[in-house]
Amino acid sequence: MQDVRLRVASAAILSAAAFSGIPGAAGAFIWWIAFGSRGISGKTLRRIAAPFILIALFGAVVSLTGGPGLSYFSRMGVIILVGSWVYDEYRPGEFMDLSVWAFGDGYGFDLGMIAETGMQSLGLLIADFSRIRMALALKGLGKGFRTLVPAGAVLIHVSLARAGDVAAILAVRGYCKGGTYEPEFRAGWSDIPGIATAICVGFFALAPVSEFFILYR
Amino acid sequence: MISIQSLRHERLAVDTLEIAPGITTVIGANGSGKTTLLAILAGIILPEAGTVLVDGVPPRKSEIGWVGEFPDRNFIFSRVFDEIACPLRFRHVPAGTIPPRVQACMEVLGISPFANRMVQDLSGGEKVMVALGAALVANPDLLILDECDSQLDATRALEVERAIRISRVRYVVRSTQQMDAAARGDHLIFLERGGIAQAGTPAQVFGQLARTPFYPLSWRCRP
Amino acid sequence: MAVPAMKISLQEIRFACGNWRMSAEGTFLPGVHIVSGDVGSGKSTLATAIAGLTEPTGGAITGEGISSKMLSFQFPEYHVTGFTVEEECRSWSRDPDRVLAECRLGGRSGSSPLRLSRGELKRLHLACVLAGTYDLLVLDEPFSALDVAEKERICRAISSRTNGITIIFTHEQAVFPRTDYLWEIQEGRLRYRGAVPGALPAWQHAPAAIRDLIAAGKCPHNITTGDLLEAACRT
Repeated sequence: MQDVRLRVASAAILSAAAFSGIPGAAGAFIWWIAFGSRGISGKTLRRIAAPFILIALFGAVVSLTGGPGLSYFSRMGVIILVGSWVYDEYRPGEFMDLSVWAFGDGYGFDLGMIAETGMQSLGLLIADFSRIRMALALKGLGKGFRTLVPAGAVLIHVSLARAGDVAAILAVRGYCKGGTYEPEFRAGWSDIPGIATAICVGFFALAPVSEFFILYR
Repeated sequence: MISIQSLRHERLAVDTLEIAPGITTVIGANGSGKTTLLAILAGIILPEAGTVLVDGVPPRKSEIGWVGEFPDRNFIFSRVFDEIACPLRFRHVPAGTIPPRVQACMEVLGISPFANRMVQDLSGGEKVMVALGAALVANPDLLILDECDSQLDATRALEVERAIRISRVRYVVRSTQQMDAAARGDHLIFLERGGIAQAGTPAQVFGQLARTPFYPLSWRCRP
Repeated sequence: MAVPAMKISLQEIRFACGNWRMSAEGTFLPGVHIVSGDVGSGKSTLATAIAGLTEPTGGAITGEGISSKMLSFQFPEYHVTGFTVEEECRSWSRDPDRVLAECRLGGRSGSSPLRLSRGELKRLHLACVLAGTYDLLVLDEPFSALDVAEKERICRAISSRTNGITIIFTHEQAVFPRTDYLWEIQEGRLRYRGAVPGALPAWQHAPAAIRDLIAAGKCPHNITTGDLLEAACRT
């Protein structure tokens, strides 16, 4: 979906639909199959594996205690898939476009910059963490859980140092609050089926449908 | 003139220093105070005592451009254009005037083709050029480069020097561990244990450092 | 039983990440190797693969006669595990007093390594690393964050290594240890230039001082500062 506004709106509607119950989750899952699963890669699957394992564990615990564990797993699983689709479709600069469009040159600019800087930092964090664990393994600490505490301590130090450097750069570049920015969006007719279907899924999941359709009764 | 009087901050102690327009290089051992001095000139740090004025104006009220040692670890935005444009955006310059100013800056640096590329996809030297673009786009009075050439090979370092000269920034103050680069500057300051041990032209300062590792390799090896 | 000769062989090595590609082929024998290349050319990627910490996208890296390896990253913070400088020395199985005297950090044994300046931490880290004996020692940008005097000192320590394979990945332009072999990464390929001094004329990343000496017909015997001065003073 090219327009980030439509993409985020679709994700919000589908997540709400999935959260509301099994019918909404089923609708959102079918939507994801039709519009969100194209181009899914091994990298994406590896990335969402951990959250899926986590919600499976929670779901199992809920089931064992007599609650609707399967429903929980299904609904949360669909939300993870929708979230992963938003992440995969993200292109640098879009958070800024969306933020400034929604909230203006003041708060919108600040929020967008926080998001962009965060995305920028994520790649560095992952690379740093990987190198830290390699370095600790060289010292004979292996690559298991024993390395997590010292690795975490160094990662925090490195991240704080970087935060200090970035703060200095922001100050020297004259950042105080907000900034001028002209959002740009890519509109395409190909976005229409996706957003329209998402709205339908949301409507049937969230609206009191039974009040309108006698047949449903 | 950049004028420093009775400056005290941590180990740094400078009684009086005047920096003339041109490229001034600060050299010294690790811990001699180079980065502290540069950070004070940039207004990043306020000194514990003393005054620093850039043509009579404190650094925080002057236009300053800054490039650190590892610019590739400190980019704020993902796209080259956004990174270079951000000083203008932060200053609330009218949005319509920003693209031509960024484009002009990129042309001076020879990085116009990179406008829509991601900074992380560039080579190390190209990243330094982008950081330099972000430092120059707001037409600073003072450009500060804190060992940014430590990430450059010789060819790219010369390109950066050429770009700085073309930009015609009135004051450029840089620190470096490349003594051959320091030899090409207009003025040289040698810091030792927080104080100014030597200051003057490269010939004057290096003349006092002939028997130290700080003497330029190319001067030592002149056939 | 004959002990196999020590070597690391790179066979049709390929790295790929997004649009970035790199290939490497060659054999590293005992001695000091310098691999030069621009920042971002893939030196760190190749360094971690040679040290056996990452896998290349394709090809194989095989070592013979190598029973101990160490890699020093450009940022010494990555290696820190001790809460104090003394603990950090002991984490490397080194005598803290000796290490601190060597890197002139006496009196800082109780400080946190992460509170040292970047240059101080690098000195501490390299002192710990170079005090060890490894069959394969890979140094990724060892001169980064060091002043010229410290670079000379580290070069002397590296030059004094008599055993094993030492591979230095660097874009350094002025100060070098006594070097046996030169390599460089250019246009996405690792290229072997040869043994020093024969390789010097082909060395694309050679500092201007070395190029000027060669142009004047005074090719140095090696690339340490002393060798360059000797060559410059020849009549």
